[in-house]
Amino acid sequence: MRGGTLDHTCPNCDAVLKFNPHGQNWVCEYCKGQFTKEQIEASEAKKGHVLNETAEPVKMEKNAEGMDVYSCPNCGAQIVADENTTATFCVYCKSTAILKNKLIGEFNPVSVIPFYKTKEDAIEAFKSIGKGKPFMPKEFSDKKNIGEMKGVYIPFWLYDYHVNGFLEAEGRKVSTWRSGDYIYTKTDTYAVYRDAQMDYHRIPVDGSTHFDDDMMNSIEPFDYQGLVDFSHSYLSGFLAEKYDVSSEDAQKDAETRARNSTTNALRDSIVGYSEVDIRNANHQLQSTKSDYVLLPVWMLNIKYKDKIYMFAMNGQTGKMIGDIPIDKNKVIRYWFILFIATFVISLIIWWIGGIL
Amino acid sequence: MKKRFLLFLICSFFFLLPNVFAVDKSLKIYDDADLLPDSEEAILKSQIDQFITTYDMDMVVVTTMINPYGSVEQFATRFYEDNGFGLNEHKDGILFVIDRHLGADDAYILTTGEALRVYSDDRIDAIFDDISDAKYNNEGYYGMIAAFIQSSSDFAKEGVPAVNKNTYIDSNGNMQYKRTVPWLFLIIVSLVVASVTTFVLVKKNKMVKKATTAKAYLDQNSIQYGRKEDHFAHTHTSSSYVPRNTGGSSSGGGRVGGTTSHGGHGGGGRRL
Repeated sequence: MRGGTLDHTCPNCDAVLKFNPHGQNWVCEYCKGQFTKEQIEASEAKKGHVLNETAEPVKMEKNAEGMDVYSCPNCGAQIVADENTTATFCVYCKSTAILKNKLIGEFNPVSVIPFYKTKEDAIEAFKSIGKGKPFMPKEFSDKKNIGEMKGVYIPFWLYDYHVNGFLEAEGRKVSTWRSGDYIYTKTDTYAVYRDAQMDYHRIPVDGSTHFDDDMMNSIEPFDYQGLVDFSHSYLSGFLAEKYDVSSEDAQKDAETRARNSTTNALRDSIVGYSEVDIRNANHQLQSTKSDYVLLPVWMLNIKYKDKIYMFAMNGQTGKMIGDIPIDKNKVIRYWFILFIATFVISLIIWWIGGIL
Repeated sequence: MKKRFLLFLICSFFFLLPNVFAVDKSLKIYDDADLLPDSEEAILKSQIDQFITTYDMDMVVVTTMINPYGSVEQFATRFYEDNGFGLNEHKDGILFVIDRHLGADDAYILTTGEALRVYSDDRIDAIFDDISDAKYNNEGYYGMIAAFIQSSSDFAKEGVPAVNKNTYIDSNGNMQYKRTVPWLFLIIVSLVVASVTTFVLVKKNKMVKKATTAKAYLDQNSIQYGRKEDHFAHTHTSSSYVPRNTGGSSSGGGRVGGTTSHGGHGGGGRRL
């Protein structure tokens, strides 16, 4: 029966294995066995069991909301997914449902960073999101506000660039001195030229329109040391999307970022001036590589006072971001206390100054 | 040992110098240099009495041919203090002395108590100007002293000048400036501190930001400069007239001392 799914099975008890982010291995929830990818493959080869790459959910039709409806190859239950979903799981038998026809050809990722953070890690990170943020409503980070929570492999484009950067600027050295009753100001102006080559590696751009670009920017950076060759095995227990923003469209963002950073890098090399005005910045970008990868993100829907707040956590590093609502009463109270405290302290300093 | 004893005697002489000018403090005018006839003294005395009654402030005029204290300021101070002049708690009063022991008219105006506040530097200068005018108009010592009384009265009538409005006389008789709390400044500082801090903390709740640069992905070791040139283009020098603060004003000719307020006295002197 299990042979019809894309899940690995336990070498001991044949139960479905789940990917374990903390151990970067696969665990059996029944016999508690833990296995590496190599161990599982060796066991499956011995048993003559291989992942049935042809076994995928059968697309039946679109439902009333326009979502694709599939039939679970394991239990026959319905699996609903939108057109960009590439991996999900059957809510009845928990079998991983890889929509393989969406992961072929140009949609086949080169590599993936597996999840390193678990659902529990994401919950803990959210519970402590209020640290250093005194204006967060008291109950906001309560676990009970966490609604839908999903670990998603989000499609990213990674771009490499070789840049020839050119910067022309005007630098001014200003010096002042007094002579008699006159103050003199001397301004020496220089024409400054900088020309440099530099390389950027793996600038990420979110390739899915389903996820807010700024939010995906904010959970950067990912540690690319964690990239491994793509395998369906890493998707078990998680959702995955395919890109719906082409590499050509996505790279505009990466180019803009590379251009800005090139300008900054060249500007940083201009030192010794009182003022610097950039007159011209002209950079030639050569795209040397672009990879399609899946990166792990925990997405959280937080329901607080009838509003939904989206939070995201980098599934590799644990960096949690999201816009936190502001308790206006706390702001007013804090401002007022700070005003009074500053006023009293200033008064004391003034008074002590008089004594001294 | 002998040297120490000698030093002790010298110190005792100066510090325990008896009041060599013990006078009847009700007279108010002491013409020891004999510069005025009795009749003029009587007129001036009545003017001084009028001043004292009107402004509740003592007034003393002294002329002398002897000054064992060295300076005319010291003379004025000792004469005023040793004879117990001054009215009220702070010994309010003004003393005018003409010291002729050097053969010239070295004059000094000593102010004490409330008179410190009434007679500012400028006013003492102005009184001396009036006295000098009287001298150069050949009005004699009577005219000079009358000018002192008249000018002092005029200023007393005007009350405390604006420059000394924010002052008081402390328990040691010194003039002190009242420290007024800079309420507006403190409120503005508190407003700015509270608002900026609150704004920064409010901003911390917005964690989602668009990335505009790619510094984290720049291979710093890959940067190779082909051109790194700075060419001098031109220079420009401008000047602005900002006069130096000279740190004080000069007084009129003959002025020998500025107004002071140490030891509970103030005043100024001039060779007339």
